[in-house]
Amino acid sequence: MSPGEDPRPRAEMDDAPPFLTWRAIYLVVLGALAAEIALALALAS
Amino acid sequence: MSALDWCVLAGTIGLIVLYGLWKTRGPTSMGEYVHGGYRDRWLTIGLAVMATQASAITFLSMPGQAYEDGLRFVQFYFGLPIAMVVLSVAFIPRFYRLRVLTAYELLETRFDLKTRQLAAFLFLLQRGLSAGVTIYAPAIVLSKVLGWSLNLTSVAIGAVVILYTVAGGTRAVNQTQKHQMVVMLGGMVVAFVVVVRRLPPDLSFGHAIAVARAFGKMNAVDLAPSLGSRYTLWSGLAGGCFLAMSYFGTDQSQVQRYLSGRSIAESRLGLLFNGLVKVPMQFLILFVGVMVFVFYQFNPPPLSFNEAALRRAAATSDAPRLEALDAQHRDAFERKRAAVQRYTAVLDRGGAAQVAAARADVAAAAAAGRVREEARVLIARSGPRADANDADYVFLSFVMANLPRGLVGLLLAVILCAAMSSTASELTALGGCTVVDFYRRSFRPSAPDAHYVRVAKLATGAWGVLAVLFAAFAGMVDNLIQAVNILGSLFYGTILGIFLAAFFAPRLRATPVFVAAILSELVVFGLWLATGIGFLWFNLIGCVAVLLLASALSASGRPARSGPGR
Repeated sequence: MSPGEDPRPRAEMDDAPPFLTWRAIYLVVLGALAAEIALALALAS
Repeated sequence: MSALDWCVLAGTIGLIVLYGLWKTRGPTSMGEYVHGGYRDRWLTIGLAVMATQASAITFLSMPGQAYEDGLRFVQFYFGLPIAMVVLSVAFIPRFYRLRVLTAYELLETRFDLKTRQLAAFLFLLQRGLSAGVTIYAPAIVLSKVLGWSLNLTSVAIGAVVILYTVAGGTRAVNQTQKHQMVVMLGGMVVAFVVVVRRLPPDLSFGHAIAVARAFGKMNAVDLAPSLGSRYTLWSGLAGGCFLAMSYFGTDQSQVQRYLSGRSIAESRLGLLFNGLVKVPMQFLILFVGVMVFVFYQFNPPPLSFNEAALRRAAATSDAPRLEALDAQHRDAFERKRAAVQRYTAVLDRGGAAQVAAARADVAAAAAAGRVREEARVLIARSGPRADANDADYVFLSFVMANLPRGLVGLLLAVILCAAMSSTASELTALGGCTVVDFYRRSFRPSAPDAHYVRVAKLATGAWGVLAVLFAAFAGMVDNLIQAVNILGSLFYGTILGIFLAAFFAPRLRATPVFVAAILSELVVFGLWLATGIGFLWFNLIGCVAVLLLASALSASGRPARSGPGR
């Protein structure tokens, strides 16, 4: 990696977005998947 | 195609490309060229990640696949949201911490140069082949529909993509992809609305779904615990998760998209947006195909959706047989339509026994009307390269025949946007990887950054020309598209195994991992040749094989002592 290529300090930018914690966001994504599989099962039956 | 359609098509493609070029200045550093100056927000990243994965094959083949085989392909994507969470937790912070330009750069930090370049080489090999197919697959269909030559269509797609990828690098790609993805999603919603509105007015949406179910097209989940079955809930969750982890976590064409974020949070949100939206999007595309199927239960479908191939077969000595088949096909359609109408009539007012009997009649009428399969045999023998499988033409044939003027151009723009967006990501990733992982690392390590940008642009253009050439000659290889689709799964598991060893197995050293990766590739290829295991499972098998073999080699001691890595 050449020095000076990336101007931004990256490591300290690991903040959660203001609206939810990361754990809550992950649960939303996985919960949506569970709901989609349940819907797919309902459609198939 | 009408003049209005041509205007919509040319206007959509031209405006998006010009906007991308206008918004992006020529990159001056490799950070700008490869990661777009690290300025993108999560929505741009999410849409760019989705546009990279959504090739034209997605929009051409998937509705046709649903027409033939129902919704079951959606299971392929069930593992993707899980993979997005794993990548957000485990991969993105590591990429950021080491400030890498390519994913493979990280492997040298953790292991050694040969492991880095092995993974980069596997990427170049697999992605270089895929780039040609990404152009070839839509070109072969569009050329037949538009009446253009195959080579002209390939060159037209390739030239536009090369223009803006070379000029603007990743930032131009991401900016154009954002708009291309909006066109793609909007186009599919329009197609869905149009096909539902074209159904008979007395057929409710619920009845349309019931008709699809009577033909077995609503089979979105298969719970069979079979390794040989290609798409089941289990292969989708396990194999699909490992495939998505490999593709999004180790394929530079995707890593490049989300590392262009202005922060880790933006990159993570972009990937998680993809995890949230991907399954519904693929479901919509497949559902459009199912609704097209229902449409053709009330409107006569052609004997083959590949009209050019049908015309060619009709010019041979098989013409009388094809005419007879066409008559049989129309009779079978009328009988089937009558059975479907009886079925929808009893759905509301009939008892359970009547509904079951009417549904059985539909199934019997469908089974009796398999005339298209014989037509496929005649088409297949009409010429050495006759494309008898017409599934890829179902959606486009429906669009050309049934959409109003203007919307035909929009749907063709969807397909071209998809071809361009995935090709653009591939070309910038191939060019960047060639320079960062090979040219700069092994041939000219201390040149000014502007030199590397120039070489990266040249490399991107060269990969683009290679892709167009490959597309031009791709038709000479039989079953190429299927071969290249499977190729990804044959390599991805091994590459993911190397990355998981780097992240989660601190005791594993460079040489055992390098040797294990090569042995794992041999194991995967051996199993692929010798068994009937569904290809999705190879993502899991290759990954686990790398980890187990590397552990065994490390435990044996000898390879570990020779390893230069940590």
